[in-house]
Amino acid sequence: MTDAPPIVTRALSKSYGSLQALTDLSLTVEKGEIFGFLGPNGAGKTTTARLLLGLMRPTSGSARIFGADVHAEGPAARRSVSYQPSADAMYESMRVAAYLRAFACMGGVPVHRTDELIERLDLDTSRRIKALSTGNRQKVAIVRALQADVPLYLLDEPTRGLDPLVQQEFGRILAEYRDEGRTIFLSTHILSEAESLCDRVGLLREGRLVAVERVDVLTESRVRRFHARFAGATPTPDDLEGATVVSRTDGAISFEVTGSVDRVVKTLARFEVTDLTVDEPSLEDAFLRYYDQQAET
Amino acid sequence: MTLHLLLHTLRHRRLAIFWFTVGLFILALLVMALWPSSRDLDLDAFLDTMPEAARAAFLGRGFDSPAIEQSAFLQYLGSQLTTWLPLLAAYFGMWVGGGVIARAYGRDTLDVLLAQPITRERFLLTRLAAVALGALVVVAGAMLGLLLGVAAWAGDTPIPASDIVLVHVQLLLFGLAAAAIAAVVATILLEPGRTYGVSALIVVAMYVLYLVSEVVEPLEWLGFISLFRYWRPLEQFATGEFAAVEAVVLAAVAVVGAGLAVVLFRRRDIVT
Repeated sequence: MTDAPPIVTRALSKSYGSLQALTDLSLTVEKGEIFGFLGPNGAGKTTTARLLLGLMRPTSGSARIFGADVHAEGPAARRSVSYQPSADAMYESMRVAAYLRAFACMGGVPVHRTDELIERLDLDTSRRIKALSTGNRQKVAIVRALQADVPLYLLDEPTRGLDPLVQQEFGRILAEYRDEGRTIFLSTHILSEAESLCDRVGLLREGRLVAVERVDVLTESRVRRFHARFAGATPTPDDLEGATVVSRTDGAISFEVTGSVDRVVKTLARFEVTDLTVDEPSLEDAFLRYYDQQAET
Repeated sequence: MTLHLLLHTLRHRRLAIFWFTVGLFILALLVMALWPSSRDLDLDAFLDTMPEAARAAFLGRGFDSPAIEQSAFLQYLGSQLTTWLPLLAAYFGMWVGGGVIARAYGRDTLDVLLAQPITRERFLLTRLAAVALGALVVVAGAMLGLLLGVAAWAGDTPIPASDIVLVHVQLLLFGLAAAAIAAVVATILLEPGRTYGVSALIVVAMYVLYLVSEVVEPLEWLGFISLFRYWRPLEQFATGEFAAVEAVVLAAVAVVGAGLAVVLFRRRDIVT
């Protein structure tokens, strides 16, 4: 393995006829980080992963994995990568254990932690794949990808169908991999997932990378919208210092908070709250607000 | 890694290979089992009512050689081998040849396979090698059925076992040529339904071209672009000589087809 970054793309573009799926993607993913590639469905996340794996040729631009061009040196580049696709890419009639064994051999790369991953994700390897639920199929796909002892993992929507406990365990496993110096490129359309799993995120919109930022920076500037109902008195805007009140009626108030919510939660605790909901901003809202704030300052 | 991919491919086609082998073995046995009840039919009289070209289409080339004209058994065998066997071989070849790409694409497993550190060329050639091995097993099943059938029901009109073996070498090459054509179609179309549909259309078109070329003399040249023109079992039985030129043509179609499929697949975008 070279000292080159795990992923470097330069003006990477892909079009299908008149449809521009990816435009001028220039991105560097550093060693030992979990990079979240965020975007709504159809934004170009899967196209990017497929270009990185050499499954498609770019219309223009280039992509390198640990310094190896993904087309000119395809096998060398892919020797450092393990891929978990978003589709249900399974051999239905195989038992889980046989499936994992087959890919452990076929990849030609060393495998590690297979039994540990199976145990931690609570996967029954004696069953046939066609008999598995969506969540269990996803576990199989995750174990197949993570059992490869490689420095880079490309995971496409890895938590789809996983229950919350397994998602937590999966997050812990990814953190361990990162701490071992491995790199994870994780594409998702769920902001909270990127927040909880990733160190850095890039936002893709309509095939263009519109922002790359550290997750902790984004979280600090993140705006949450609260909706609270009260049995007795309703707080006034003056009570909610640091919040922007959006609407207020007798017994209900909606307000937005940027960054830490500690102060407003303590304020609300002084009132008799009967209901409280917090809206998560959309992916784009989060980024756009962040960049608006940057522009204002 | 190539060996693992080869074994993986064979493992996933094992049922198809098994049932085709068993099917052709039983069919070959059945054909020979029906010979004792067919030998009393006046096949000569039936054939005499047909135009010469139609007889060629029905019996295959070489029908007018003295050895065939004097042997009701060889006429019977020729009619059987010319009608159903090449069609089955073409169907098998088309199915497994197209399947090397289209089947995996249709099941979304092509991404995972191609994400392995292997070149596209090696991937496709390994899969085609698995097809060749599978075809060898299937053809061996048909050959064994015919050998046993001849020994059991046609003992009084023996044909050399070497002729039966060489006819099945032709059959293997015929199936591989069909598989290579289907592999080319698969690399262009990817999607399984379209791949199998277009490949089937090509097989049917070639069969029709062959029949037309045999029946309509001015259009005889059309037969040369049909694989069925190069399937010559009767000549083997009539002369005992291997149809080497035809075998070379079939082998060339298989090799060139595989090469073309590799070239096309090397640059093919795998789009879902």
